Amino acid sequence: MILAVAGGKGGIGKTLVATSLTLANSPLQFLDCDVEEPNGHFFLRPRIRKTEAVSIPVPRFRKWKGEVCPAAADFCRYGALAAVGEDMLVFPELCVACGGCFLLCPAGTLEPVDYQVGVVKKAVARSGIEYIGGELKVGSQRTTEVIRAVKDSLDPGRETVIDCPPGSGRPVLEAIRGSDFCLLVTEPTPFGLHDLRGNKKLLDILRVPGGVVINRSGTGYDGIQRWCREENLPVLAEIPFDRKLAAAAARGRTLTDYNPDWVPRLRELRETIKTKL
Amino acid sequence: MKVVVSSTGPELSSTTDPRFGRCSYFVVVETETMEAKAHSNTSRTAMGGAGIQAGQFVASLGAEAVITGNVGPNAARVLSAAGVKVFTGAAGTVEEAVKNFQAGQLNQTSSATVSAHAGMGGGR
Repeated sequence: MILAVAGGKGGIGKTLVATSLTLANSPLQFLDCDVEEPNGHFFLRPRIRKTEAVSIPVPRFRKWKGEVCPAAADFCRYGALAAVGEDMLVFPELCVACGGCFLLCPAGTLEPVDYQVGVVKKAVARSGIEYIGGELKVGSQRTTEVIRAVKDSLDPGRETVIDCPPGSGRPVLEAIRGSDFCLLVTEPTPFGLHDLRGNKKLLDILRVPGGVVINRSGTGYDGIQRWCREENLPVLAEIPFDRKLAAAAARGRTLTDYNPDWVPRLRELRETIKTKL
Repeated sequence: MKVVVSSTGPELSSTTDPRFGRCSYFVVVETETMEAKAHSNTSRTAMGGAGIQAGQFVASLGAEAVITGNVGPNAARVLSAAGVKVFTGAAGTVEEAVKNFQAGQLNQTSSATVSAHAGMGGGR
């Protein structure tokens, strides 16, 4: 089973839920796909044994092979390639690796070269967790390429938990795609409901079944439960608001570290999810 | 000589635009006759690489120099490769900027005077 954990905004508790669920049911495989701001390692404390580069093919102009090709530069919507006088300038940080320039140039004048956009780190973390985490290079915008590289590294024979990036945009789509189930973490506020709606739409498009975890519950707002009933979206767990838990999480402690009662509850949550596949 | 001024409007009386890649217009001025021709800057709303696209466009106009407020690193690289001189610190109208340029009051630069993306959000 591949279980994705997503949520509308940063700080809603995605990583807390994903790492706690992984620990309680270990040994599982954990994928940190929040590559713009990965933080699963704060909770799981992996010992990195392998770091692999993630690269995209960007063009390099081979002057000695042929003429400058203005058509290719003109084609590039991102301005990553410029035809100036006798030369073609490449701005690899702007390249999205669409490959269009290679098709428009006479054979051989542009050659693809690797340009690093991030890394994938592999490790064994506590409780025998197989940890695979992506990190986007600072300044790069090739988020989905790094997420894809993380997902390509997973061992399909092992049960997996994916910590997704926040929001309902393209990187989240890439992280959830191919999962068997997705837990949506939210909070009992109108903001939480707004983001949850977006996440639910994304799951419908991807045809991935979902369930909701309400974090910081017990604050009096029942809009999430009402909407979930209308949408037939099961609320599978609630984490009561607790300032001490928030402080513990900020120090890298999971739900199971904070209170061992969470271990049987999170094992049960996994069993419940399995019945919904 | 033929110079290109980054401008907020198409006239000699228009105010110069401190941004290069994301300016509204490029006004081509023949300095001997003060004859002007404006081109709207299609790279202005580019997601990224505005300076690079604008630099190629300006180079294709056959101008010897660019007069602007500031220039970013990518545009500077394109203009320098194209052999177009860059003069920064332009202010006032297009006409005033050209006069200041002729009087030698603008700074010639071969490198960026602002960081990448400085022209996003209005350049303020």
